[in-house]
Amino acid sequence: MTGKELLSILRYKILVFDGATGTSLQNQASNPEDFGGEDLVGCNEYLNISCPSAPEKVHRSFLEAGVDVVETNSFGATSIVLSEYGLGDRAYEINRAAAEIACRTASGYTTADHLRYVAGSMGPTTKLPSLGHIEFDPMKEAYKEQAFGLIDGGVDLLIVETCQDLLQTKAALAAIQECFAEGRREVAVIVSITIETMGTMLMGTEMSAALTTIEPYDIVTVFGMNCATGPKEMEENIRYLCENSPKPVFVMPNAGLPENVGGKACYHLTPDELEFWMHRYVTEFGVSVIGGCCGTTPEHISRLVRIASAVDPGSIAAGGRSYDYTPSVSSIYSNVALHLDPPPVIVGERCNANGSKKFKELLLAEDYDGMVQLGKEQMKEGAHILDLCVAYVGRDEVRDMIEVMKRFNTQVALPLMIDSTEHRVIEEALKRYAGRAIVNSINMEDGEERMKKVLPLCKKYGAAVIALTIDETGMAKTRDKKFDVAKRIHDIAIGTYGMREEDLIYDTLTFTLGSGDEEFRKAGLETIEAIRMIKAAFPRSHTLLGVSNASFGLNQSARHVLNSVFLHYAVEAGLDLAIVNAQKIMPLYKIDERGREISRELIFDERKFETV
Amino acid sequence: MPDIKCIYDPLVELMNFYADKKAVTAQESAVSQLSLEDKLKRRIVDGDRIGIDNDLKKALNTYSPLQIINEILLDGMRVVGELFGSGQMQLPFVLQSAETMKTAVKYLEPLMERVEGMQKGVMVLATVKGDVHDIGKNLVDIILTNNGYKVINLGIKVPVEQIIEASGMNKADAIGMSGLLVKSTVIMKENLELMEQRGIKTPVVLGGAALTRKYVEQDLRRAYTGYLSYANDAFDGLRFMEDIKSGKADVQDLKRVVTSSSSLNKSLELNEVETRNRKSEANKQNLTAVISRSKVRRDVPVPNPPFWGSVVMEDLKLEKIWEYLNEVALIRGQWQFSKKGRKEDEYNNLLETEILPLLGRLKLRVKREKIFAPKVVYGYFPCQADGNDLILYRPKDEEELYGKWKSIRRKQATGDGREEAEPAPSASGLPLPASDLTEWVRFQFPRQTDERFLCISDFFRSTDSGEFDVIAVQAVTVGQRATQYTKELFEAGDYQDYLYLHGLSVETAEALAEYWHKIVRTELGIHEKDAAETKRLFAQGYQGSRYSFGYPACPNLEDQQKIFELLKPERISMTLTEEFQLVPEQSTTAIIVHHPDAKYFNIR
Repeated sequence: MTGKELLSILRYKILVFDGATGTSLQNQASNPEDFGGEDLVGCNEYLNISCPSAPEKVHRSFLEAGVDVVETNSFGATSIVLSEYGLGDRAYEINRAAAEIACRTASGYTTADHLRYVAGSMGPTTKLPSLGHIEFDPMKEAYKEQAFGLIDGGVDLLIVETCQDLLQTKAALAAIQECFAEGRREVAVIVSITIETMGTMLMGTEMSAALTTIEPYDIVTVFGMNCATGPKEMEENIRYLCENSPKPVFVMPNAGLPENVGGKACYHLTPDELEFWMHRYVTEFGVSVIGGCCGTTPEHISRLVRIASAVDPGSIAAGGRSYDYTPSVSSIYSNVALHLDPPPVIVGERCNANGSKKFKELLLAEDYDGMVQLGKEQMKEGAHILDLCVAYVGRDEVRDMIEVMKRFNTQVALPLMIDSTEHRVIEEALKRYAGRAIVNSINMEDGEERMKKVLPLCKKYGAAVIALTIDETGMAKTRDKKFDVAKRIHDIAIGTYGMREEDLIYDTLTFTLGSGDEEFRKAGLETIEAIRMIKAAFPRSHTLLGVSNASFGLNQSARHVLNSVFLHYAVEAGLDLAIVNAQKIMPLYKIDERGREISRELIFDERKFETV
Repeated sequence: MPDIKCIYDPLVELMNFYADKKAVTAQESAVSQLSLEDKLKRRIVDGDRIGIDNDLKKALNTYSPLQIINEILLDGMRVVGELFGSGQMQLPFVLQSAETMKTAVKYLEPLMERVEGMQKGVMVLATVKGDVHDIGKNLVDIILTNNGYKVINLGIKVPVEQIIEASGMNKADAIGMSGLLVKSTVIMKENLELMEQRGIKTPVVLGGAALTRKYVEQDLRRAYTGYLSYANDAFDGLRFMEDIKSGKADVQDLKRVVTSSSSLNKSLELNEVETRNRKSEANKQNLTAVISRSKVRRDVPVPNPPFWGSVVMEDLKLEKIWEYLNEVALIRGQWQFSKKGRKEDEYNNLLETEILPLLGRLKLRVKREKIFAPKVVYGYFPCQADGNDLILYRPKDEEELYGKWKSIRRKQATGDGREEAEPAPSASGLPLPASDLTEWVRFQFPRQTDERFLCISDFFRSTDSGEFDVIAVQAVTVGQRATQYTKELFEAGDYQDYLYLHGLSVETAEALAEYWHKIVRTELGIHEKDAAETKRLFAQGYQGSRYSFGYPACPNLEDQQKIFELLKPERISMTLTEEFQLVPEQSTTAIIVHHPDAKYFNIR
């Protein structure tokens, strides 16, 4: 089943997943022989080899309850987890077997009226990459092996589930993309994160940040949450998803909060209670895919089947849900919209080794913690997003970026703008960033060359990107030229590389008004008008400007005033983001009237002439 | 073609207009225009230590290291003290300032010549015998140390002999004693009396939650001729040291001698009042002798426990426990983010943007680094009231105690009673025939001398009735590592983290006690009346009551020994000090009463 097929199914029905696999398996297989030896007790995934009848029985129990989708018994079947049982080299075989057992069993229940599907389960492993437990690449390789096994075994879709760290999710998604790119059958993908009782993912990620990060991935068709709590505790987050997510919503709760008594987890939610909550979520909120996680039995699941069968096609649940998604970027903790009200989104400029002396000195001293501190300071000063650039002549930029990113990923709560001219640096940064970043930047200096290297990275890691209005002839100076370059980039980025209009942020660049050079007298005006033209032609796209360039060459006091006034008019024309030192921008009313007026005249070039 | 001449150019105009003006920006101006001295002071007040080395280096061109500390940095600390005292600065920010001070002193120290008088004074500081609470004492240490005083911190549970010895050995200028318990105020008095006997005159400062200025200045000053002062907070401790070193203390001491002679009369009056009080006390005693029992109902149904004897519970989930975390107690009590001096929305904003995210991160850290290891021992015991006493029984046969009792335990305590409990072995719900039981432990509870004449024993079936009742007993801990970990933070100078984590550990122990109490109610089937909101559980929104020793209705800390006899909490690595304090510190014990009328009450 491709993503498109899944979407078309969801237009006319609620899809029901199965219930708890792990706990049910423990009931099927209890002695060491079933597990294939004393050392393997507890390794549920090896039952696919040692005792295939056990997972088969579990699948049957749920198929008989009437589910549409059974999950393979492969939750922990990456080599990362299996190697804890000395089975690290058998991951492909185990996943393939898991898929084959599930497919065989499901096809026995498939009728013309009721198709049954198999979802390949990909769990979170036992390592958190954001905490440095494992690097991105080895984790991605492990997921790739698992995805190969599952797809070759015949699954209809893949579910990356119980996600605890978005970087782990990104590794799995990168792995799946590589599988497809290498010619494996394309199947639909569901991502399901776990919100702990504290209200965030284990790493502290809010639901809005998770949605922001996963939403750009085309290969992900359905997004939602599972595990950790019962349905009741999920209410707030389900509501958020249903109101905001462009992707159909998936919900798979536990049978209540586990009560840990006597060292054993007990789940007490009754089928009645589960039905009550899930019915509400489906009919009132518009959840599209439902199932049960830990502690849910076939009896629970049969209630979900009942809910699904009673839903009227065409109702809110069957695709009629209305949502309002605001394109955003995100750190590992929280998201920031690319358009704020009141504008602009402020991009802190001081974590830039080329722009900030302090940051450069910290970099040269390799005081990485000091660099983090500077990032935090900018947050206090009012920045919403931080530009991060560690390029410095004579230093290894890849190495510096890795060191800095490892820390910024978890220690700075603001989303980052990865600023580099080297695509290798950009990729190493994206691999270490759990949230949704902005890549700074692409241009057309060498035609399509740079887009060719950078845009596939943006697609692979779900990033937004800044497009500078520069072409083969250099920086565009007039409004028409700026717009033409933007349009060329727009067409290629969307047409060739599959970016979306809202993923693109145009920087219309500006020259200093402080030189007095006749050529640049109208530079500010042209920049502002170009913003207006771009926003009119591509309303879902965004615009950005490094405002302080406009005043280069003037003294500090004049700069602050001119920058502030220039920003005011740019925002009026539709500017979404501004790269500035937040502390050096003043609201207009704080500037003396005369200074304000002179600045306006300078920006709009209102010189007065007289004919001699 | 005519020539065109520019007669007005805004660029030229702008350059002229701002030619002499200094950059005026929102906030940056304020800081950048500060003198170096003020900048350093500001760093202390703001707790901004990153990059302080540079400012210090510059200051060293003009000042000696000692001047920088005494004339600039300490001035900043004084501002911090004032802001703290007036409620405009919260404790965590004070600690940030203290950390900054420490960073600065660390930088300057190697540059200082060892000259006489550099050290401003020495204090020997201790939490008194029988008390393990040291957060206040450690704050005094932080503030004094960072203000140039030397502090000999003797730790917790320090016997007076050790204090005296350390004071002599280090030629201490002052002694500081601290303690949280009411009992500690009595120990302080005993300590002062002993010091008086030995002719010690070293100035003493006392601090602690149960102390009052009145008690120190009226009662304790009678016991000690040396200079004695009460400290309401750590900055009072600082003022005390400054007074001593500047000689103000001597003057006050003189004044005190004068006033004390005039207060002699007052104390005579006091004695009279006391005598009167004692008389009425005697009357009450007589009355109580007559009224040996309150009007508490004796016929409420006795719940059936799921098992008899005690069991150990380990591997408890922190998320579950934290559902019962009293955030108000944590944030306002332990962390001291008080509302004082703040507007409602200001405080809420602080709560939303700083405090709650902080709590989230802290919880994550605790989980990741496995700092807490929550464990519980709890159990159910047959019991009967005998007047003011409560008798708990055990099987006569020792073997039965750990054999049969345990086996009666139902397969899985479920927490909500939905799973069937194994049937109790006898009709009365008793584990054994009454004839096979024998008295095990006897608690003696005090009785109210008026109002309702309540006594905890009244909530149980009495020996006269011939029926048996049930009492639950629990001991909970978050484990030794929490104590160790917070201690290490303190020693490493991470005061802010120390405060946060210490507070969370204490409140987690409380939350665990609350959580387990809920499980006990559920197992006894008396959970119907539980408040829906967790918050209301903290105000006893449930049937029955949980009493801990040391509180009014059951004040005898010695009774902890009996709980240890019943539960053997050594099994979860809990021990008892000589003064009946629990180790690890973040532990609590309690008895749980099921009677619907049982609530907290005072004994007068």
